[in-house]
Amino acid sequence: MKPFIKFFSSLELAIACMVLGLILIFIGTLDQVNLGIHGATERYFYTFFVYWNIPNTEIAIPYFPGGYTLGFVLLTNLVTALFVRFKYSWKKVGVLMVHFGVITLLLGELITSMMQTDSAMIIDEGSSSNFSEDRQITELAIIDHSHSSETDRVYAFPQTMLEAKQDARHEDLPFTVSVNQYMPNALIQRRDENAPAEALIANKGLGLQVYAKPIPKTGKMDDVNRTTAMLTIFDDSGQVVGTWLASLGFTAQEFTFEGKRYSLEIRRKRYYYPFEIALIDFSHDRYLGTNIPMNFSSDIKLTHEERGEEREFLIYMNHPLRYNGLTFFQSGFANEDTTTILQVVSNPGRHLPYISCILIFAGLTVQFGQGLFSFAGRRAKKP
Amino acid sequence: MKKRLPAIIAVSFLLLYFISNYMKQSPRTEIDYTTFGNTPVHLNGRIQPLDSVARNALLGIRYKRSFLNDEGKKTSAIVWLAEVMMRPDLAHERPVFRIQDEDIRSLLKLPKKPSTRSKVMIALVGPGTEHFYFSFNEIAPSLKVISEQAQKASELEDAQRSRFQKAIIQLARALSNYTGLTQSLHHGQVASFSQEVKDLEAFAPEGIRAVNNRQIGADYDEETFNQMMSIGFLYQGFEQSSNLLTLPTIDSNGEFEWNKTSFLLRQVLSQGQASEIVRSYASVVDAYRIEDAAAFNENVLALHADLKAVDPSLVSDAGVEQLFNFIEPFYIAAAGYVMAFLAVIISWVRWPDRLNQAAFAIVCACAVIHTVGIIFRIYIIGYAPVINLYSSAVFVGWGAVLLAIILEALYKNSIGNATASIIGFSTLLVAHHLSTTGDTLEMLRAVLDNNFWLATHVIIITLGYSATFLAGSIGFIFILMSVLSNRIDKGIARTLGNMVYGIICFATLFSFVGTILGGIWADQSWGRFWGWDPKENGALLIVIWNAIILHSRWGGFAKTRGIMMLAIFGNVVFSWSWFGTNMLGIGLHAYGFMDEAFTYLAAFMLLQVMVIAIGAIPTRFWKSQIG
Repeated sequence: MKPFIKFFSSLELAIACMVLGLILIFIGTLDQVNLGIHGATERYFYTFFVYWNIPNTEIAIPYFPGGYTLGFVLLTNLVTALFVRFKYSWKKVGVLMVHFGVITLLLGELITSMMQTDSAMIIDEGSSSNFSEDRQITELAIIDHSHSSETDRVYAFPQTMLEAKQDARHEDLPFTVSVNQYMPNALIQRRDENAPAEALIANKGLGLQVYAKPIPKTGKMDDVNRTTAMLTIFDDSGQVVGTWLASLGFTAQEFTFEGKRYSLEIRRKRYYYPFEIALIDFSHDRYLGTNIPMNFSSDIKLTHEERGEEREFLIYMNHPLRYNGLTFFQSGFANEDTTTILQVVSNPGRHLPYISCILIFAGLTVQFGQGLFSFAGRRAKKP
Repeated sequence: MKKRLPAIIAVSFLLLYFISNYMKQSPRTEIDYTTFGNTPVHLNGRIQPLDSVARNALLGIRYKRSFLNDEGKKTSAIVWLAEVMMRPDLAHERPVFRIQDEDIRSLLKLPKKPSTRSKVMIALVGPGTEHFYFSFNEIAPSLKVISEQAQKASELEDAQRSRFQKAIIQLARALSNYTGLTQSLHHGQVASFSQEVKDLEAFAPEGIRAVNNRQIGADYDEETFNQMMSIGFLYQGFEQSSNLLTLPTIDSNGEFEWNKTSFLLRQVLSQGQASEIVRSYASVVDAYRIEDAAAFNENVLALHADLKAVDPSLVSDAGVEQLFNFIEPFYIAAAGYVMAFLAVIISWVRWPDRLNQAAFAIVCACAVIHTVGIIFRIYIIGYAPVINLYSSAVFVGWGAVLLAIILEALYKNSIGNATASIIGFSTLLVAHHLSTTGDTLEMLRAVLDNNFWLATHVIIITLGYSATFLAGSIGFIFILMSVLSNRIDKGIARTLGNMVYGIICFATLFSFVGTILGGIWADQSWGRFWGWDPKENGALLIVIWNAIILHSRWGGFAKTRGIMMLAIFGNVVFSWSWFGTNMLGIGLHAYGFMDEAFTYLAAFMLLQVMVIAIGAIPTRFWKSQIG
C-alpha cells in the first residue's frame, strides 16, 4: 500500500500529468481545425482515452490519456498529497489555498462536462415561448393531433434510442416505430435513378422525393448535424404501415392511422419550462457608418402563472437573465432583427470557478508575497 | 557629473531625435496642411482627424503612412489626402498603389517599371523584395476585371483563398476606399463648390414647386423638374460613393448625428440653405482648386470655428489624436530600444559601468515614451489599453520592459537592460507589422465592449504573457552568454536563476488569475466558464508550463541551467498562445488571422529550440563556469 500511496502523491506524477495535459491540449487545439471545437472537445478532453481509428475498420486503439483520465489522476494526486505530503503550517497556507483552488477548478469542470445543458430559445417579436431546443441532441417526436381540438399530444423518444435502433413504443400509441437505419449526419439529395437501393424502401412522406446520404459528423460551430433515420411503423398485429425518412430540418410528416391524424419528425431535443418568456422588442445597434455591432438587446416579459410571477427584463450583452437555476444569454438574432435567440444554460457547477479564482489569487499572492518579503529582507541586510 | 555624462548624452540624443521627427510631420508649404489635418470627421465608427484618415488610407494602399512627392521626397499622408479629396484628377496620376503580386500585375497588363533600387541594394536585400507602385490611371482600365476576380475570391472562405485571390481582394478594397475618398468632400462635377451651393439655394424654391405641382397634378415647368431630378441623381451617387461622415449636428436629445457632405442637398431643400460647415468646406475645396494658399488656410480656420460651434471638444480631441500621430511614440521608443541595446553590447566590451548606466537611462526614457503612447491610445478610444492583437503586442512589450527595468534597478548587471531593449524593440516591430491592416484604434464588438473585463482579464493575462516572455528572454541570453563567453560566473548564474524564478512566479500568478477571470467573463457573457476555445487553451498552456517550471524547481528536478532551458521553452508556448492560436482562425477569440506571419512564428520557435539545444551541451564545454 505504501509505495502505491507514495506513487499517487508524488510530485513526479503531478509534473507528468501536467506535461501530458500540455501535449493533450496542444494536439486537441490543433485538431479543432478539422473537428471543430465541439468535436475536438469530445474526442480529446471529455473522454478517458484518445483513440486512433485504424483506417477502413471499426477498431479504435487508445493511444493517449484523455482529459478525464488526466483530470482524475491529477485530482487523486492532489488529494493524496494533501493528506500525505503537505505540511500544514502557517508558512504553507498560500500553497494550500492554491491547491484547494485547483481541486475546486477541476471539480467544477467535471461537473460542467457532465451536467451542463446548453439550449437555445427562439422567440419572435410579439410572441412567446416556454421551451428551448438543445444545440446538439435531437429527439424523435410522434405527435397525436386527434387528442383534443386545442392541444396535441407529443411522444418524444430520445436520440439514444435511435442510435441503438431501439423500437419506439408507448402504451398510448397504437403502433410501434422501428429504426431501419440511423445516420448521425446526412446529406439530403433528390431521389432519382442514382439513389441507392436502401433509399428506395421509403414509401411514405418526403422519403419519396429525397434520400439521405450518410456523411461524417461535424463538430464545427456553424455546421449542423442533420440527424436522419429511416423509420418503419408497424401496427399492433405486426403489419407494416409504411416507411418514412425523417431528418432534422424536415417539416413534420403527417399520416393517418385508424382514422386518427399523427405526424412524426426528428427535431432538436426540447426542454419545457413552467414559465413563459415573451419578446416585447429586440434591438440591434451598430456603430455609426459601420457594420460592427455595438449592442444587442431583448426586452422580454417573464410569466410564471403557478407562482403568479410576472416581470419585465432587458437581456443584453454581458447582462443575462438568471431565473430558476437557468441563465438566459443574448446569443443571436434572425429575421431582420425581429427574432431573438437566447441561449439557455443550466450548470450546477457554475459557482465553483469563482471560489477557485479567489483561492488561487489569494494563495499565490500570499505565497509569492512571502518570497518577495524574505528577498527584500535579505537585500536590506546586505551592506 | 562626469560619471553620468554618457547617460545624459544618450538621453539628449534620443530627445533630439524625438524633436526632429516631430518637426518632420508638418510639411513646409504655404498651404497649412497641419491645421487641415486636424479637421474632425467620422469614420469606422469613431471621430478622428483627417490626418488619421490619410495615414490609414495610405497604409492600406501604399503600405506606408507617407508617400513620395513629385521630387521624390517623403511627404506626409495628409498632403496626398487633400489632393485625393479635392483634386482627384491630379491624385489619379500618383503611383501609390503597391501591387506586389506578379499574377495581378500581368493580369492587369501593368507597365514594367524600371528598378528604383541600385544593384548594390538588390544584392543586399535580395531580389524579389522590390516594391512596385502604380497610379490609379494605370489601374483604371482593369477595374472591371479586378472587381469580378475579387467577387469570385470573396465567395470562398479565407483559408481557401490563394495568394493571388487574397491580394486581389486587398486591391479591390484599396481601390474602393480610394474612390470613396475622392467623393467625400465634393462630387467634382462642377468646378466651384461654393458657386454650386449658391446656385442650389437659389434654385431650390423653384425646383420644389415644380416637383410638388407635378405630384398634385398641377401645371409645372418641365425643364425645372428635369433639372431637379438630375440634381437628385447626382447627389444620390455622391451619397453612395462617399465614405466619410463630415457634417456633425447635435440632435434634440443632445446626441451627435453625423452626415456625409451630400446631406447638404437635404439641408437646402428643407431649410432653404446649406449649413455653415458646408459653406466652409466648399470654400476650402475651391481655394485648394485655384491654389490660393491664403484663402485655403483662412477657410480651414473658419471651418474649425463652425465645427467648434457644434461642440468645442470636436477639434481639440481630433488635435490630440493628430498630436499622437505626429510624435509617433512607438516608433521613437523602438528606435530608442535599439540605441539602448547597442550601448549594452558595447558596454560588455568597454566602459561597462558608464555605458550600462547610459543604456539604463535610454531604456527608462523609452519606457516613458512607450507609456505616453499607451495613454494617448486609451484617451482617444476610451477603452482599456488592450483591444486587439496590435495593442496586445504594444502592451506585452511595455509590461516586460517595466519588469526588466525593476530587475536592472535591483541587480545592475546589464541583463535587465539587454532584455528590456530586445523585448521592447521586437514587440514594437511585431506591432508595426500588425498595424498594416489599417486603423488599429477600432471600436469593439458588442461582446467585448466591456471596460471592466478589458481592464481586468485582458490586462492581467497580457502581463502574464509579458512576464513569461521576459523569463524566456533572460534564459535565452543566459544560455548564449555562458556558452559563448566567459562573462557568467557562479554568482551571476545564481542571481539570474533567482531573477527568472521570481519572474516565473509573477507570470504564474498573472496568467493563472487572468485565465480564470477570462472564464468568469465568459460565464457572465455567454454562459460557459470554459469552452476549450483555442485562445483559452493557449492561455491554459502558459499556466501549465509555468506551473511545471515551478514544481520542477521545488522538487529539485531542475537547477539553474534546467530552469533557464525550461523558461526558454516558455517562449515557444507563449508565442503559440499569443499568435499561433489566432492563426487557426477558429473560435471566439480569432480576432486577427494572419498567415504570412506563420513563417516568422515558426522561425521564432525554432530559434528558441536551437538555444535550448545549445544549453544541453555539457557544461564542461561552456566558456563560462556556472558551477
